[in-house]
Amino acid sequence: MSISWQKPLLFILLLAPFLQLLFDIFAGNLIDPIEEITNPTGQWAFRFLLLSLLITPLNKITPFSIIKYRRMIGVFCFFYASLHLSIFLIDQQFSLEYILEDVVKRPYITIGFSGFILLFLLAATSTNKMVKRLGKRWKKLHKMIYLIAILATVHFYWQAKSATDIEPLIYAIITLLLLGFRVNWKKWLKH
Amino acid sequence: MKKITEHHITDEKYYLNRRKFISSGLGLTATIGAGAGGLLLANSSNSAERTKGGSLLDKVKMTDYGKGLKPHSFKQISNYNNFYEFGTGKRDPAKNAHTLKPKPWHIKVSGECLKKGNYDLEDFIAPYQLEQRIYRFRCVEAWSMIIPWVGVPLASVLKSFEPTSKAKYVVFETLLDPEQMPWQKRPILNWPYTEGLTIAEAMNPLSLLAVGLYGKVLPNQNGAPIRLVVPWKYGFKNIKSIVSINFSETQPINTWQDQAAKEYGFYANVNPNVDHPRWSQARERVIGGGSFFAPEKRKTELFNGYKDEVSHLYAGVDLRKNY
Repeated sequence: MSISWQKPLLFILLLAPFLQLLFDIFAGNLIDPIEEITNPTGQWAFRFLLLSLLITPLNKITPFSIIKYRRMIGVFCFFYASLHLSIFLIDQQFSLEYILEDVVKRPYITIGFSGFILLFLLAATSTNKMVKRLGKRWKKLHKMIYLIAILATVHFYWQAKSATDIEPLIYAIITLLLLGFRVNWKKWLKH
Repeated sequence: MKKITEHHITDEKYYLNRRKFISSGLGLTATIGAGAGGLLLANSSNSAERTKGGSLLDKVKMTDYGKGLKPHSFKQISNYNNFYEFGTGKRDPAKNAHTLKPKPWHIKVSGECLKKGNYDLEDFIAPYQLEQRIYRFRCVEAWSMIIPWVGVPLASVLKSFEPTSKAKYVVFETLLDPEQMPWQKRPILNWPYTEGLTIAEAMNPLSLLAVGLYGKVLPNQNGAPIRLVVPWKYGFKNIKSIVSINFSETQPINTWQDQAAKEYGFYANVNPNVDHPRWSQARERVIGGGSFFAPEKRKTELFNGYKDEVSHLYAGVDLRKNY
C-alpha cells in the first residue's frame, strides 16, 4: 500500500478547522471574533492532543501501523494552541500589565499558560534532528504530554461557565481513559 | 419624566421604516395603547420569520435614553446572545428559537398584591405607551452592546397590580415548556429560569419590560414576547419570555445564583471593582468594535454608567458582599 497520499490528506484534514475559521473571518460571519475564535481553537488543540494520545493504543490494538502520523497531529495541536493563545493576547491588547494580571490572578489562565509553555517545548523538540540529539531523553521529555493533557483538562473545566457545561466533563473522561491506558495496572494492583 | 421628550435623532440607516416610529405624542394613551397591543398580536405566524424579527410596532415614543449612543446592528443583537432554553452557545438561540410560540401568551400575576390573575399579554401591555430606549447591555462575561429596546416602564405595569406593603421583591419566571424550549429537556439549569429584583429596583424608572427591538416585535431568541431589561445589571438578570410575576416578601434565589452562588449573586450590578472569580470585570469588549487585531475595549462603568439613576438604591450596601 502506497502511503504517499496519506500524510498530505491528514495534513488537509488537520488544517480544515483553521480554513473554516479563515473563511468565517473573511466572509464576515463572526459577530464576536475573539470568543468565536478562542473557543474553537482551544477545543481543536485539545481534540488533537487527545487524538495524538489515541495513536499509541490504536497502534497496539489494531494491525495498522499509524505511529508515523502522531507527530503531525501533535504539531497541529500546538498550532491551534498557538492561535488560541494569540487571540487571548489580542483580547488583552498585548498589554503586559493585563496579561500578567490574568496569568497571575486567574487560575484557569495560569494553568492554560503553563500547558502552552510545556507544549512549546515539545513542539520545538519534534524535529528529526532534535529526536536524534536528545536520544533517550527525548522519550522522557515527550511523556510530558500526559501532564499537558491534565493541565488542558483543568483549564477547560475551570473556564466553563458552570457545571451546566458538560463538554469539559466529556473531555476529562476521555483524557482519563487515554491516560489510564498508559498505566501498568497489573504492577499497580500487586502493590 | 424629564427624560422623555419628542425628538427624531434616529439615524436613518438603523431603521427600516422610521416613519412608523414617530408618535405624535398628543394621542390619548388608550388609542395609542390599542394600536400597540394590536401589533403585538400581529407577530408573524411563520416560525422562520419569528427569529428574524417580527412586524413593526406602531406608535413608539422616542425617548432621550441613550441619546448619542450608536446601537449595534439588528443582526448582532439578534444573533449573538445567551438563552439556555435554546442551547448554550451564543449562536444557538437564533438557530433554535423558532419553536417558541409567543402568541397567545399569558402572564400570571401572584403573591403580595391586590390584583392577582392570569393576564393576556395584550391586556397587560395595551394600557401603556410604548417607548424606545437605547440602553447599554453588559454581559457578565465582559462584553457589551448597545440596544434600542421598545417597551413599557416596569413600574407602571407593577403598580397597576397594587402590590401590598409585604411586597419586598418581584420574582419573574420564564416559560417552562420543553416542547417549545427544547434545551429544558436537559438538566443544565434548574428550570424554569427565575430572576428577581427588590421592589425598589423594580420600581426604578430605568427598569423596562421590553416587547420590541429596533421598533420591531421582539425576535424569539431575544426573549419574545416580553422580557425584562435592567441596564445597570449584568445581562443574565434580564429574564426573557416571562410568564409569571410574583410579588414576594422574601428574596428569591435566581437561577444563576442557584447554579454557582460564588460567581453569580442576586444583585449582579455591573461593577468594575468587583471581579468575577475567574475574570476581571474592569473592562469590556465592545462587540464588533475596533479591528481584528485591536478589538475595541472600554472601561466598565459602575452600574454600567447608570450611577445617577440607581446608586441611591444601594446606599450603605456593601457591593463587594452583595454582588
